[in-house]
Amino acid sequence: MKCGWVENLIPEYFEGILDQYQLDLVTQHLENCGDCKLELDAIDRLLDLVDNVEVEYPSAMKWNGFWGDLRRKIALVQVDQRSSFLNLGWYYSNIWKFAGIGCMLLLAVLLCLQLFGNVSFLMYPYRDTEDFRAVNQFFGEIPIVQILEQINFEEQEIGFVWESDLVSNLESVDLHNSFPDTVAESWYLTDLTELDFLAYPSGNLDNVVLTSMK
Amino acid sequence: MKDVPDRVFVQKVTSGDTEAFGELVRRYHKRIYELAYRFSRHPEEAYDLSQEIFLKAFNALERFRGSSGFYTWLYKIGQNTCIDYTRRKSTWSELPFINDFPSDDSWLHPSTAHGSTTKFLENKELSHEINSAIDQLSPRQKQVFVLRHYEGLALRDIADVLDLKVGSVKAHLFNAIRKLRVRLTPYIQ
Repeated sequence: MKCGWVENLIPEYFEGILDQYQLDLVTQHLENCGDCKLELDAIDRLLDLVDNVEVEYPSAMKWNGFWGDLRRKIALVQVDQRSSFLNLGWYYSNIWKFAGIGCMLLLAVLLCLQLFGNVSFLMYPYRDTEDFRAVNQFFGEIPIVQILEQINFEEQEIGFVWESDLVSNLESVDLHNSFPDTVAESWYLTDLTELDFLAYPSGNLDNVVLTSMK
Repeated sequence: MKDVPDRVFVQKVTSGDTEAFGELVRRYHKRIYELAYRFSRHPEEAYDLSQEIFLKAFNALERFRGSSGFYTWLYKIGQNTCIDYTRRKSTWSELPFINDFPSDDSWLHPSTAHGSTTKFLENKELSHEINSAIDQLSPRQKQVFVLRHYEGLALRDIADVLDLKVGSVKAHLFNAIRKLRVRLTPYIQ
């Protein structure tokens, strides 16, 4: 084994961080190599020297005034905190309280909207009769076969078809970019085959654009 | 007073009794100062650094949950502050090694002051050289070396504290020892 290789391992040897295989090799080498033994002794003395450097302390007056100095700094911080409108430390330490109050307020607002407003969060959102009217305005009372014949334009807003009885007899529907699970949930649309809806925006089916017919 | 557990004082401080923090400071400021000194290698800077550590601890005391001992928690803050300090210092221009403390031994810690002043002065040049050599290590090498040799941390713990791999810690330690070996050769012959 070369001395250079062992020399590189001597610091690790001293730190006791060699694996057993390396340790055996180094120990064996050190028994037979005077130069490496010298290097080992040198690092031994170095670490001994470095480890024994005494800590220097400040003057006794300063040392004894440690708490006094710190007390003044704490007082300054406290004054700053009291005078500061944006006391971030205080906000930070109360962040969970704020989060809890925020959540409760949000829940209260949602509940009010659900109970008294025209917005529904807790049930299927498209139950508004407006939607049915929109469909009926478009399809009128025309039988479904005739509707299919009539829809031969490239783009047409058909309004809300989700719960339309008028399209419920169709065999299946191909809703590109739609949510499969949402479509599957709608038993009204399970039989549609003829309508091909492309890219309806943001998951709202009340604004579907019909772009082609098969 | 010595028998009163730390948590009692912590509770007092969090209830608004700032003076109770004084007792915690009295208990640990020597140890924290020594930690700061190992990183700064200079009494003035170590003093300021240890004040900074206690100030941080005071401001964060409300968040101290008591899952560990107070000193363990304080020591962690100290370690992080010292590591930040070595990072900061690496961006400063090189500080002169100031040796402007009074020549009498009144500023020495009692344990040192009780010893021979002559012996101390003989060792002063050597201490200066060693401090200077450690100061010239890269920030990472210095952090690893101090944590290993003065704080006695295991390599894995150093890796955790510094967010390094154990292999990197070994490499930094190796290079630190190599550099010190070269720099301090005249003193170890």
